[in-house]
Amino acid sequence: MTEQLLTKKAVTERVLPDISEVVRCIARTLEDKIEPSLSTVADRSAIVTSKHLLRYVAARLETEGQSLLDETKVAAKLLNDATSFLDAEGKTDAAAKLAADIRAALAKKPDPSIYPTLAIMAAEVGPLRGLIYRLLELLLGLKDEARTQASEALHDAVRVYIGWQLQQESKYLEEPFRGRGPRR
Amino acid sequence: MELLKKPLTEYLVHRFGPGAVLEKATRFPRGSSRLTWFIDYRPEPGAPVVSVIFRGDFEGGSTIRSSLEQEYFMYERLGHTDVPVAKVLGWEDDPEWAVRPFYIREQIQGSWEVPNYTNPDPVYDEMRIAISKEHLSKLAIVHNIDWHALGFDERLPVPADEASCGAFFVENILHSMEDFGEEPVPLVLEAVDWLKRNAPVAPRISLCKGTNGLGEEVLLNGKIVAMSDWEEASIGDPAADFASLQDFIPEITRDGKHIWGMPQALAFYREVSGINVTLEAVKFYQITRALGTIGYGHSAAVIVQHGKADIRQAWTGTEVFHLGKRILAASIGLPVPIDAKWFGEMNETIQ
Repeated sequence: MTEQLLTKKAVTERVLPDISEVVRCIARTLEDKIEPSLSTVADRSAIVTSKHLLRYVAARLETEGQSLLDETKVAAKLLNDATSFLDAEGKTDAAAKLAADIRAALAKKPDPSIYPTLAIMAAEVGPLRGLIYRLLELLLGLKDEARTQASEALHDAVRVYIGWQLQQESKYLEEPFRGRGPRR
Repeated sequence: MELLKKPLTEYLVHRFGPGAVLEKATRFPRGSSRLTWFIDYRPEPGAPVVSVIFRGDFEGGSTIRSSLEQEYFMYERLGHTDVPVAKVLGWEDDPEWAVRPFYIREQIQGSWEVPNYTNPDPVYDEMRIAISKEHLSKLAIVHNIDWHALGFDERLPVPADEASCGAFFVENILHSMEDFGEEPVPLVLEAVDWLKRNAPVAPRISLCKGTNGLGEEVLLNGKIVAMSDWEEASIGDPAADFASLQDFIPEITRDGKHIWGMPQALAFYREVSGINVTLEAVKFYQITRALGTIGYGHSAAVIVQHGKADIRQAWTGTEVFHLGKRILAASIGLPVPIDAKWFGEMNETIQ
């Protein structure tokens, strides 16, 4: 008997249940046990919204880590390309300061002895987004005569990044809600 | 009730006299910007029921940028015009009674629901067009009032001239987002630049209602008897109200002919208001609306972060916030396709 149980556990190879499974269990409990007993629209509406948000939580748990990891790489590549432009064409103090801040940010390496939690990864991505925001501010602020093929190409790259980043967010902000009924 | 420190029954006595008795109290299930409570009471036992509305912020704060005081001010000032609005009955911030400030206004008899309005049967087309015209006529009254003489500019910012209305509108949204400013969103920067370069010249500077249309106005027998939800009111281009107009400009085609929609609505509105709002201007303000959605989505996300959010605000800070970004991105030509049905789907409510 013990041998059978151990064999089964070895096949699973993880700690059961995982967080997403627990979240789904909570959602099902709200739906099966709580919702039928509610009489007011306001209370039922609150449960309906809660169920949507629990699906969102489960989806975000499953996808956010990889999304943040991917974004770190994409943002770093964009910012690295931007330093070449800022060095070659940026003549202002703001451009020089931005280039220096980008280099300082890209030089930071995560401590391999610390597990990269979502909070740590988000704290790494946040400053990169901030630098891209500053880069875009600089590009949009260029006077017509200062705009070049290189500045326009970099601006296009920022626009592509914005679109790409939105699609990354959509992985946990579109599917859990779409086609699943009223939100409230 | 979450707005009061003591039972509502005691408050009614305090506010409306020793004989006041509670009949019914219901929280409005739809609202996501502020709390709305419908209260029925009798001033004396056996007296006719009086219906009032209590309006306050959620515990964690409001997702919209204007204050509750401004909303109260709007209702009070509008009470001096021909615009149909509920009369305000008082502001309450006495710490002995109020958990946080709220105000009371009368509840006008009628409903924000219009029977069969969304029924696609062509038999209801004439009714839909009549409601649309009724609403446009009421908007015409709003847009033609003398906002300066009535003092609306004491609380609402005023653009310098007709040419700067669009950029001014965008700046105000951006300003409200800077108040929070905890997350850099490059999309916003790109969109603001695009919007300022594409802003139309306003036909005149008007008082604008903000969110309007189905779900926002109270109707009785096919007439609008009260216009509600003034929290997004502004002074600027009347085209902005057409971008915030919910469902009351239905698209109707009969025998292959498009008999009602935005072009016909704008022509009718021109007749009744004397104001020439263009389709292009409406499209511009529809894009600013997406920027505004990002603004209150972001506000909601910050309220959630602070730990006292209503569940509705958590939704606003997630799906609504994201959808606002997606619509804005698509509107300014970024390569992110979006399903047009999403917005309508998000506005569905349970029955």
